[in-house]
Parts: sequence; C-alpha cells; structure tokens
Amino acid sequence: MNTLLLYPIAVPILVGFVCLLTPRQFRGPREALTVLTALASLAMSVFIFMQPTLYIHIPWLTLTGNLTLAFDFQSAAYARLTLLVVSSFGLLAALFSIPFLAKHPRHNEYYAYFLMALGVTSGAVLSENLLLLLFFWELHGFLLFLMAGINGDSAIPASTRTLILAGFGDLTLLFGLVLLWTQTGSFSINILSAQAISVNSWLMGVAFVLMAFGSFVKIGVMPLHSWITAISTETPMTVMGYFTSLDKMLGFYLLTVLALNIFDLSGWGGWFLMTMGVITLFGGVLMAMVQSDFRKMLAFHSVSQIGYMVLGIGTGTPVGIIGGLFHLVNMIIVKGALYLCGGSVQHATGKTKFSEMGGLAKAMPWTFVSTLIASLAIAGVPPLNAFVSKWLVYQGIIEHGGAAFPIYLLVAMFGSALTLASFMKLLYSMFWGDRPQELADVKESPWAMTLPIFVLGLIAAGFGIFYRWPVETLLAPILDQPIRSIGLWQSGLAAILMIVSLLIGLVIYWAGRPRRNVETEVFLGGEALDPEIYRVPGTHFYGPVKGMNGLRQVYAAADRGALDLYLLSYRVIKSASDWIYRYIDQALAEFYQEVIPALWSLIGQILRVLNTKMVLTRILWALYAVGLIGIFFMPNQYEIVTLARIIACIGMIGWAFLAWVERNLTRMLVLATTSQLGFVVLGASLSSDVAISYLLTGSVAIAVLFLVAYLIRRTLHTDKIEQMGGVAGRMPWAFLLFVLAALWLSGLPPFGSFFSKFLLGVAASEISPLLTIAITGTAIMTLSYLLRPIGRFLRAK
Amino acid sequence: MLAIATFGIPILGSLLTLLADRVNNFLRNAVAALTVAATLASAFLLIPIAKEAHTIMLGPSTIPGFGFNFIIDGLGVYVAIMAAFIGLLIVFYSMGYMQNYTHLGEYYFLVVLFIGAMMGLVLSANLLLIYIFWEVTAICSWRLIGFFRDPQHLKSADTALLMTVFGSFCMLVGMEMVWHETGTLTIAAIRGRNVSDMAMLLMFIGILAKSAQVPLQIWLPAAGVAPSPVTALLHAAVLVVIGVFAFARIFIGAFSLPPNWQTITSVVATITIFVASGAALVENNAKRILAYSTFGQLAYVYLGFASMTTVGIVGGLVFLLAHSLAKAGLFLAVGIVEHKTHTKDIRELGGMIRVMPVTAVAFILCALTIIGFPPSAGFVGKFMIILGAVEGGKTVFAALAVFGALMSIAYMIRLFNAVFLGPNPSHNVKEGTTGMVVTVTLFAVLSLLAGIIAAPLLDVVNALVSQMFG
Repeated sequence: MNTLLLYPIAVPILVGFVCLLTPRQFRGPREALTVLTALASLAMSVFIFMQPTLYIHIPWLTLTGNLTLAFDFQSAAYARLTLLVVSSFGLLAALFSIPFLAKHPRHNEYYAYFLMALGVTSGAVLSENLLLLLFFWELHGFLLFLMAGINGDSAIPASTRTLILAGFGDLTLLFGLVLLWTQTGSFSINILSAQAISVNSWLMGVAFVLMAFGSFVKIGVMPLHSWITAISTETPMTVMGYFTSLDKMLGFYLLTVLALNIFDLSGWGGWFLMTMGVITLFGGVLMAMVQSDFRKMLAFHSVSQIGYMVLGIGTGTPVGIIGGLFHLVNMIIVKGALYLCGGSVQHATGKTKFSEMGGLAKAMPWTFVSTLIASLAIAGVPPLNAFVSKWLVYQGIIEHGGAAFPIYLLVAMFGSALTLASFMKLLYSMFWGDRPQELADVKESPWAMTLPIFVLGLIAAGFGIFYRWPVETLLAPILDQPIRSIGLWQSGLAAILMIVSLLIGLVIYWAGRPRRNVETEVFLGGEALDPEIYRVPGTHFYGPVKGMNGLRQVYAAADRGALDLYLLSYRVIKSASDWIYRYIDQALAEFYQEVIPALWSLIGQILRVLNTKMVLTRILWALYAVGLIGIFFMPNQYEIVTLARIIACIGMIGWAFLAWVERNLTRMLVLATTSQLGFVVLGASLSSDVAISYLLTGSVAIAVLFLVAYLIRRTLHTDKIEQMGGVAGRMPWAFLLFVLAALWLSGLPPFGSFFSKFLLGVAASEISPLLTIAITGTAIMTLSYLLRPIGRFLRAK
Repeated sequence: MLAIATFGIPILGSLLTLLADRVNNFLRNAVAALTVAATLASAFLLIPIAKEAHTIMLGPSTIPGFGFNFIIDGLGVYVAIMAAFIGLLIVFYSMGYMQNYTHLGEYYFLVVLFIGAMMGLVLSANLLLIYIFWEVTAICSWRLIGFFRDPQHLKSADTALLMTVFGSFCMLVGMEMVWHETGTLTIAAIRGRNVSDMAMLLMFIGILAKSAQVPLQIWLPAAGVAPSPVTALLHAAVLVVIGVFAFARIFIGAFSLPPNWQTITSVVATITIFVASGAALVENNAKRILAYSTFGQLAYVYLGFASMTTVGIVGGLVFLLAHSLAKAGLFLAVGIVEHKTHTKDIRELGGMIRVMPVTAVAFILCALTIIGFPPSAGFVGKFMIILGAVEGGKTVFAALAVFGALMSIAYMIRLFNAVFLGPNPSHNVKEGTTGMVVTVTLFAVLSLLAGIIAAPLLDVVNALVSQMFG
C-alpha cells in the first residue's frame, strides 16, 4: 500500500524519458501518452488523498555514519492536498498544451520536461526528509531552466537568469538545511516538527531566513521574482501557466512547512514574512499596471498575488494561514485560467501586446467570459473565490495585531484595488473597444482550449460561493487548531443577492445603452484618415500613474534595471571578477613570469659587468681553493669554516645568476660548473662523504652537458644559444642527453644527484636555515637557466 | 608483488611504447593502451588486499630516512583506480585527437610514464619516495604541456615546471626538517608525532603548487596550451590530484591536521574559490576557463579536508572523483570543439550544439556535476563538504563556499551559452570522431552514474576514511 506513494513520482519521470527519446515526428502518440500519464497521476493522487497518511522508507545513500539520504515519502495532510492540486493542474495543463504546442519544433523536449516536472514536484511534496526535498527541488529548478530555453536563442538570457536565480535559491536552502542539521542532527520533517525550533537564536534565525529565501525564489517573492517576468515573454504561455504554478506550489509548500511545522515564528519571524509579503504584493501590482504586453502583466500579477499568500502565512494565525493556502489554491485556478485565456488569445490572434488588440469579446465569447470571471476573481470581487481567501488573510492580519498591523492591512487592501484597476485595462484593451482591422476575421480557439478555461472559471466561482467545502474539508485538516472566522456571512444568500444586483445592473445597462453606433469618416484638413489611427487602445490607461511624482522615479529606476536584484548583483560580481582577474590572477602571472625573471636578469647583468673577462670567476676559483684548504686543515676553526661556507653560497647563487644571463652555451656551462662547485665546497664543510658523492654525480652531468654542447657547436658552427633552434629535431639523442643531464644537475629525482643534494640539504639544515635556502634557491635557479637552452633546442629553427 | 606491478607495468610499458614507436604507429598505440589497461587491472586486483592496510618493504637503503616502502590501503587504491581509469579513457581519446601530429612516441611514452609515476606515488609509504614520484610527474607534465614546441607553449611549460618544482623543493626541505625532528620519513612512523609548523608550511607550499591553489595557481591556466587530452590528464587524472592526495596522505593521515592548519587550509581554499570563480567569469579562452574551474573546485576538496570531520573528508574524496570524471569530460568536449574549429576563444564560437549535439549534451551533463546539481555525484560531494565545514565549526568559510558555488553556476552556463548556443554555428564543422565522442559521452554518463548509484562509492570512501584514522 505504501508503495503507492512512489507511482506519482516515478511514472511521470519515466514516461518523460520515453517522450524525450521518441522521434520528433511522433506527435500524436506523445500527446496521448502525456495526457494518459497526467490522468494516471491524478487518479493516484486522488487515491492517496483518500487514504490516511502513508509512509515509505527506501534506503538509498549512507553518506557517512548516521547521515543518510533515503527515499522517505509521506503523505501528510498538507502534502497530499498539494499533490492533489498539482496533479489536477497537471492534467489541465496537459490538455491545453496539445493544441498550443502542436507545431513547436521541440515537441519531444516539451512533453518530457512537462512530465518530469510533474513527477519531481510530486517527489518534493511527498518528501518526508528535507534533504530529499532539496534533491527534487534542485531537479525541478534544472527542468525549469531547460523549459525556459525551449523557444531557442531569444530565450537564452531569460533561461540563464532562471538557472542562476534558481541556483541561488537552491544554495540558500542547502546552506539553511546544513545549519539546521548541525543544530538538530536531523533532516526529517517529522522529527523537526516535534521540536518547534525558535528563530530567536542567532543561528536558527539565519537558517530560517536562508531556507525562506529558497522558497522565495520558487514562488517569486520580490526582489527574487525577476526570472518569472523574464521568461514570461520568452516561453510558450503554457510554460508560464504550468511551470510557474508548479514552482509556486512547491515553494509555498516548503514555506508553509517551515512556518507551521519546523520553526516557531513568534516574534520577528512573522513580521519578516509579512513584510516580504506586503512588499511583493504592492510592488508586483505597481509593475503590472504599466506593462504593455499581457504576458508580462500576468507575470507581475502572479508575483503580486504571491504577496497575499506570504502575508497570510506570516500572520501565523490559523485563519491567516488557511487564507494564504486558500489563496494559493485560488490563484492556481485563476492564474491558470488567465494564462490559458492569454494563450487562447495569442493562439487566435498571434498578438501579445495590448496596443495590437481590441474588441475581441464578440469574436471570442467563451474566452472573454472566462477572462472576465478570472479577472474579477483575482481582484477579489465577491462572490468569487479570491475574495474569500483575501478576506481570510485580512482577518489574519487583524488577529495577528501588533502596532503596525493597520499599515499592512491598508496596503494589502489597496493592492487589491489596484489589481482590479489593472485588469480593467486588460479587459478593455483586449476585449472591448475597436477591433483592429488586422484582426477582423479572428475566430474563437478550439474547444480543447476554451473548455479548460471555462471549467477553471466555473471552479473559481464555485469555490467562492461554496467556500466552506474547500476551506473546511480540504484545508482545515492541515492545521490542528480550529479556525475562528470573524464575520463569515451566509454565502448562499450573499451570492444570490450579488447576482441579483449584477442582473439589475445589466438590465439598466441594456436599457440605457445607445441603440446604434454612429459611424462616420474622419477627416483632417479635408483628407480622409485611416480609422485605425483613431482607435483608442487601453495601453495607456495608466500612463498617468507612471507620471505620478514618487512613483515616476520608481518606474524610471525599474526601467534602468536599478531595481533588478539579479542585474545589480551580476554587475557587482562582474566588476569584482574583473578586478580579481586583473589584479590577482594576471598580476600574479606577470609577477612570476615577467618580474622575477627581469629581477634575475638585472642582478645577472650587474654581475656580468663585474665579471668582465671572467675576473670574478677566477677570483672565486681561488677563494674556493682557499676555502677547501681551510676546511681540510682547520676543520675545527669555526670562523674559517663559516667563511668558506659563505664563499660557497655566494658562488652557488651568484654564478647561477650569471649563467641565467649568459648567451653563449659553453660559457654558460662554465659558469654553471662554478656554481655547482659551490655545492662541493659547502658539502666539504659538512661531511666529506656528501661532498664526494656530490662531486661524482655532478661531474657526470657536467661532462655530458659539455659533450653535448661540443657536439652542437660542431654541427651548427655556433655557440650562441639564440641560434640553436631545431636541435631537438636534428640531434634527438644529443638533445635527450642534454635534458637528462640538466635535470640530473638540478637535483630532480630519480636522477643521480638528487640523493647527494638531499643529503646535503639534510646536513645543511642542521647548521642554518640560510644554507638550506641557498641550496634550494640555487637548485631552482639551475633548473631555470638550463631550461633556456632546452627551450631553444625545442623551437623550430 | 601486485603493488610493484601496479606501477612497474606502466613504467616499463612506457619504455616499450618508445620501442614500439620504432616499429609502427598501430603497435605503439596498442602497447600504450594495453599497458594502461593492465595497470588498471592490477590496481583493481589490489582492492581485496587494501581492505586491511599492508605495508611492503623492498630491501634496505643506505640513504637515511629513505626506503622502498609501499603501502596498499584504501586511499591509495581509490586514487590509483581513479587515475588509471581516467588515464585509460584519455589514451583512447588521444588516438583520435593526436593522430595527425608528430612525436607521438614521445607523447605516449610520457603519458604512460605519467600514469606509472602516479601509481607509484599513491602507493608510497615513505615521504622521500612520494617526492621522487612527485618530480617524475612534474617532468612528464613539463614535456607534455610544451608538446607542440611553440615558443609560447614552451614558456608555459617552463612556468609549470618551475612553479611546481619550486613547491616541491620547499616540500623537500620540509621533509628534511621532518627527518630532523622525528628521525624517520616513513609515514606510518610519523603518525601522531609533533612536527614544527615550519616543516608543515614548507610541505604545504609544495602541495599548493601542485594543486594550483592561490597564490601558486597561475601555471595551471597557462598549461591549457597543451593538447586537450593532456590537459584532461593534468586536470582530472593525475597532476592536480597529486596535491590533494598528498594532503590526505600526509596532513590528514599522518599529522591529523592541527586546528591552526585547518584554518590556514580553509582560508587558502576560500580565497582560491573566489579567485578561480572570478577569473573564470571574465576569461574568454575556453580551456583557461575550465582550468580556473579546476583549481577552484579542488579548493572545495581542501575545504572538506580542512574540516577534519568524517563527513567533510568523505565528501572531499567523493567530490574529487566526481570532479575528475566531469572535468575530463569537459576538457575532452572542448577539445572536440577546438580540434574541429581551431579556436578556443569563446567570442569566436557559438551555436555548436547544432553541429555537435552529442558533445553539447555531454558537456552540460559534466558541467552539472561540477556545479553540483543532483543527481550527480557532485551534489553529494559538495553537499557533504559544506556540511562538514559547518560541522567542523567553519561556518563562515562554508557560507563563502556556497556563494562560490553560485558563481560556478554562472561561469559554467556562460561557457556553455557562448560555445554551444546561439543562432548559427560559427564554424562549418562536423561532430568529432566516433572514438572521441564516445569517450566524452562515457565521462558524462559516468559522472551522472556516480551520483545515482553512489551507495557503493560512499561505502568504499567511508571505509577508507575510517581506515585512515583507524
């Protein structure tokens, strides 16, 4: 029985893969398969909904110790309700997709992502474990990214933005989860619920805010909403209607679980959510009013409506929470209807801008009526469903109380009024007024489109009039507490009264309207004008709003992108990255590759001038000899031995610099030998064994180097390193010997002088770290200057 | 015996490859592939032995502190199998990618020797022995980076060699100090002994240089001039992994990473994450972007190690594997694009998904692993690293690392958009050869599979981590 929980998750995902892999032209079968799968999903959800809470545990990964990622699914009351809503919506969206997507070139991908998203959302909702929820959550974000890019190239910026914002949400959620885990040691919703963690501790407060941000991205709370409005114009309408709704359900599900089950939000936590809610609802509607493309306008409205839900949850009162949840259900229905209406209009006219439409009410009556109902519903006009849910949210605010509650209440109500105002613009621009001549022969969309919209409109009305059933039967069981509602009216009677009053209004309108339109030609300066010019679209209805002082600046800032958090952060990160690239990475590269060699060359050149005609070199040889004699005959005279060591170090390092700037190969080897002799002198002062072994191993390498240099000189008739290009190709064996000897001399293992050098280092480090530095420094310089001829040998001639 | 075979086969095989090159190309390729395959098989055979750590002594040595000591334990065998496996796939890929170039005898000799040195390194139980193999890999990588013998390439190769050798010389001095302080260089004998911070620092510099952590990172992006399979080898299978391995072996296994070193490592890792992500967001050379990504992502492994919690270390090792598979795939995918279009500049590329659909899909799958999207192994690894860092009390570093993860999404998607998306293919080319495409796809599939069927992988890593502390 409990395995039942797996089907709504696994079946759509698997069928999604089937859809992806079927050839593109199999459109019909793929559509049928999708609808069947969505139907089966709904059937399973209904079945799960009827059952008491089911639970299943399937072990998967043991990360370490007691930290596991298992498939723990549970159909708690809220989860199974959300599942039901998700799958019902999935079926409707599947039906609607068929005509709308019929000619889309990426048909297979669309349905694949569609079904996978359904399964993944179900998985997240049914997860009993927050880590598992995160798993599905991220998958959903990735599917959204794929879906956002389905219209091809124009959608790339929008889909990129979607992925990055989704990634932001995923990562904040992840980090919040991690913090929660370190405090509680568990990811299980059941276990965490039993603890009711207070957000008043510093760490848990951060954890709550981070996790809330995760859900904010998914539901589109301002200022994390911008992916919704960005993809609204770049994807098929069904994607907007379906995917953003799934995201909302998912995000809201998590937010509710956080607010109700896991955290105890008394105190600032509630105010935090309420404030985010109010900002979102007001900012969203302000932006919606001035849009000229209905897809964008709807997108901003859906952002705005989210605010009411977050506000309701934030009140923390049973009536507010139920109000928020009911508003979510209502918005899925109403927004779904509105998106589908928009889709239907777009399907029929091919237009999305308000200014290009008008007067469609007659041509598309079913779409018009559905849009009208949905618009009134979203504005919260009684007796439609969103009126009830907003009413409950308002009550929640009142019940929550606190000093600032009247402000929240006022803003929320004012937002509602603006919503109505903004939908008047939509209705006027699209359905009333004059129809552009281009659209003269527009016809109603096929029934497969209009029927789902109309059904949604009916449900919207039904949920408003008979609100008791959804509120008390579906939602109330989520909370354990009873809901105290203030001023609940007799809905049946109220509805009848309202309908009667509307009918009276209609009668008056019909009685008073002009009998016929007077049509006349328009002249300007005696010239007949195209009536099209004088068509008044509704686009500029709220032009004055845009010009209002105070708001004007806000809109201007929004136009510049100054309010777009994504864009702002992107700019900041980009300039920080520029800085890092230039002043850390490239600067370091320049330091290692240019500055250090230049410094070496400078020292080398100075020494080179002093060493004219090898004067210094001869002096050094003499000093080496004196040092050696001193070491052999007065090994216990500390000053003499120290002096010999200093001479040795000067020789090692100084002549390495000289070799670095030498242009003549043979002379470079002479200088190198001089430098290496320093090691021998130093070794002699430490232990004679080390000195002898170094002398032996070093001599072999030096001999080979001189031999190769001789061979090269004989072949190329030059001793200048500059002119030795192409040696590697012409004399491969000589080249190989040279490389091996160079590595040998530098003390790189596994070659001979490595062990001598190691022993030298061990002995030296007992005396002084300075000696160790000298040995190591010389070794690295030896390699550096020997790489110069090697590099030249390798180059083309 | 098997331990010796594991690194002996490739080292001898590399010489055979050189000989075979004198006969003909086919024989040379066959010898190279067979040698690496035999190495992999031999590494697999070590698994039952590794269940209980075995140490092997191969004769005495007159050098103080030195000894041919080998250890067969979980950590070594895990990294050995990983390196040999990825190395084998890269050898297969090379057969398609490299076929039109000269000096291929040298190429295969170095690649096989490289893998052999890696095998020796991971099985070494003596610090000095580790150091010897360490330098062999440096020498191999030097010639491989400069393989095309272009002046700019040779300069990059010299930079890589000098910087890593600078690090390893520091490390050698550190080892000398360890020898003074403890009287031994055998890892098992050092365990639990106190070592001065100076010795630790010197060895740490060597590790940083090898793993290209800031401020010794610059050689790795420059090394992108190498042939793509070599880049993949350096970034995924051997070179940079060596630093991580040595850190796990020496700093965690032997020294148990004292608290102050946990902080130092975390700081270095965090800075590296930001430098890498920032540079990758700005850079326009596709291979350099991936190189920045490599050391940026390896910094996560260090962050996990620095937590000194089981979950962090396990996460680090899982992520190391996930990263290696995915990064090899990414380099090889970009390699196909580069091979066909002869450009690495993302401003000149675009729309490649239309002509190279398989490569593009493989690329995005590998990128998901690097970013850490589920269900890839990258998700599990990164999640555990962050969890470990928080559990280890490094919450601030963990938070910064999370932010870095967001930046990795940004630069990966930027790279993908620029190379593969766009209205029209920028070059009129075709998909790579079958062998190349199959290899890339294999890496993509494996990096996904490593996440989906991660249960056995996690069991293995958990076992080897408890062995490290046991």
